[in-house]
Amino acid sequence: MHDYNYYLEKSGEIGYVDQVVKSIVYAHGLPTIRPGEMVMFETGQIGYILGINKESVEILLLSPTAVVVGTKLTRTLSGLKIKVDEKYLGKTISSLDFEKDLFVLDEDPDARAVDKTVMAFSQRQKITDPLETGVSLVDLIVPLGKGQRELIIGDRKTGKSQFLLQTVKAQAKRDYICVYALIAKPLLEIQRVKDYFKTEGLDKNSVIVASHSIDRPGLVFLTPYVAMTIAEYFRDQGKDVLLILDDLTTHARYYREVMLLAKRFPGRSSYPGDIFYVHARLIERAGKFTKGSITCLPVAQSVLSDLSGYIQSNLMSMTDGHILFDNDLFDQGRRPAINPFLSVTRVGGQTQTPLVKEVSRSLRTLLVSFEKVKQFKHFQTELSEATRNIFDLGSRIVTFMDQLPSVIVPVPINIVLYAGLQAALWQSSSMEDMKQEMSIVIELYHKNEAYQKMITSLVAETKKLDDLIAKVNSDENILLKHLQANRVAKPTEPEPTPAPAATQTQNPETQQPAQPVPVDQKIVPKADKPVGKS
Amino acid sequence: MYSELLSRIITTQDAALLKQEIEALQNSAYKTKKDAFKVTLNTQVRKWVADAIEAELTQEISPEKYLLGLLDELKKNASVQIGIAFEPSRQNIEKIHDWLFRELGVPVLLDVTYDPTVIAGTKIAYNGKYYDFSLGKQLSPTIESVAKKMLTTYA
Repeated sequence: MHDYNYYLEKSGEIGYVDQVVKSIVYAHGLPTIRPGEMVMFETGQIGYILGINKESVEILLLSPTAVVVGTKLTRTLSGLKIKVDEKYLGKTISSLDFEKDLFVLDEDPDARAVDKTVMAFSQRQKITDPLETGVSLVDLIVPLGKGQRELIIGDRKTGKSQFLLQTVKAQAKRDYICVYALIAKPLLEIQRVKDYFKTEGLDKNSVIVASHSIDRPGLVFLTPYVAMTIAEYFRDQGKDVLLILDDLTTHARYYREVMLLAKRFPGRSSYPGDIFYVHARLIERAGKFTKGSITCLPVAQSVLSDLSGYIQSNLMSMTDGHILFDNDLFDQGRRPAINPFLSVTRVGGQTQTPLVKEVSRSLRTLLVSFEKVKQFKHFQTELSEATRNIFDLGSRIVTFMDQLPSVIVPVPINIVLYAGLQAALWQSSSMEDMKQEMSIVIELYHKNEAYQKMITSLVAETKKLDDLIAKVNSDENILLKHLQANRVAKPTEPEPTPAPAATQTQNPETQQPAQPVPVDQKIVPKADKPVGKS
Repeated sequence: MYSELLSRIITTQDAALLKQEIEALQNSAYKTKKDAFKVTLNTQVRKWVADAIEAELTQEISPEKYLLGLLDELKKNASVQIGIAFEPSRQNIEKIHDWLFRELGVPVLLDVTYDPTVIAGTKIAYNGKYYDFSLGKQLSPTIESVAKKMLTTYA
């Protein structure tokens, strides 16, 4: 970036500041200025042309230092452009860097416009590949596709950010490029995300674009656009990018502040009339393209689980579905607190294989039945056996879906575990034991390549859920063998009382002595508590 | 009307001073003392300005309307920023102003600044357009190369 005199000489146009209202500057002069152009003040600050009136131009000041009335300014003959390259991988770009390193005001063939038109329809493709989040509930019930735009919505402190970090972790390990935009966040939260990326080793293929809550509203407004431009750079290299915009309700609030200062006519909830356009033109830049994809997860914060808010409903209408984090479920202790009934995915279903689709359908049906019978649970023994079975299986599924933020559960092992649940493998185990055994299997899947291959091929080769349940029940199944091995390794416990009959036939194999397991495949449970017996 | 007064306003400083005086006169309308306008005219306004206003106020026009009209006329004057390498006398400024008025055909206010980097010639900004006709600009590549040479040779 050159100095003021360079741009003055280059453009041959000068202006003078007439009025300064917070971060909006009014100036006269600059006869041929265009909206969206950058200007430079003689004191070194830069600004962005918001609007042009008959007698003055409206400038959004981007630099942190203020300008005073009478300051000279000049055109730069350049729109808002940034230069992106590989060196940004692993870095956190804060709003201070925008001005110092990122913005390009000169002719540079590699510079990319921050605010550009969306890619043409002819360059877009149908979403066909799944995007795994590593969260069982999402991957099985509200699946996402590569290139999908899915809104993450919920009250504050309901686990949205945790879910997003889990998704980043799941994707960064698959060599996805992850761009995480933190919009007007406190410094502490930015640091928390940075630390998470570092400790999990995600920084080699991720970029954090962050603006602080104390930054100039102009910079906060530009944060998601800068993040999207960085995502587009990697997309153009043919890579798959995961872009997280956390969050757009705050972004809308900052845009409202700027526009009210600029004396724009306020509309609903005092937001300017073009707030829909501001967000739609951003989110529309994501998608699956002939070369690469951008999966965009914008975040919206709701108040008291109200989904009918202006910005929330706007965002819902411009995305391909939403994942709702429910305050009530959070209070009940469900993690992640995603409401599967009110969450929607419009294109995720088409990326699923027939088996996953069947699992998804079966899960939904079971959860609906479980919700229905839940209200009768206080009748206990008076309930029919079928109702008790639904209640038992439903409770187990809910426990199965509960997941620690640090755990990534890949889809194949999810499906096998679900098949195990359906096969009543844990019918007589307590919930805690079942969860612990599932954790052992998941850990084994992550650590043992042979086991991973076996599970993946098992899921790939099986076409129907019933077949998978039968295979999981069969003697040759390694899932069972490992469970048995771990169970046998524990000290002998008194024989459990026979459990009520399950909807599925109980596996007789669990009563047989376990097959010996190679030492490298044995997993010792971390907890002191012994794993339950079947 | 106003021509007598405006003919002597040729710089932005003149205009700013006149605006201050007009403001003081406008404020006097809200004072309850008797002849507040006249008192202000005699105490807070320069003699020649007061004379010009008094002469024109004899015509049938209220002081408020007259002052508003004067402010409007002042706003019509475009400003021309000039950067020169010497501190000009009043005569110099008048000469430049007359020449500009003749050439542009519109009333202008001069904003003259002393800029030693100009060396000779001038820098002009008018209507948002900026022109650098200075010798400093012509010589800057030479000065830069000489400075570079000196630094490499002696530093």
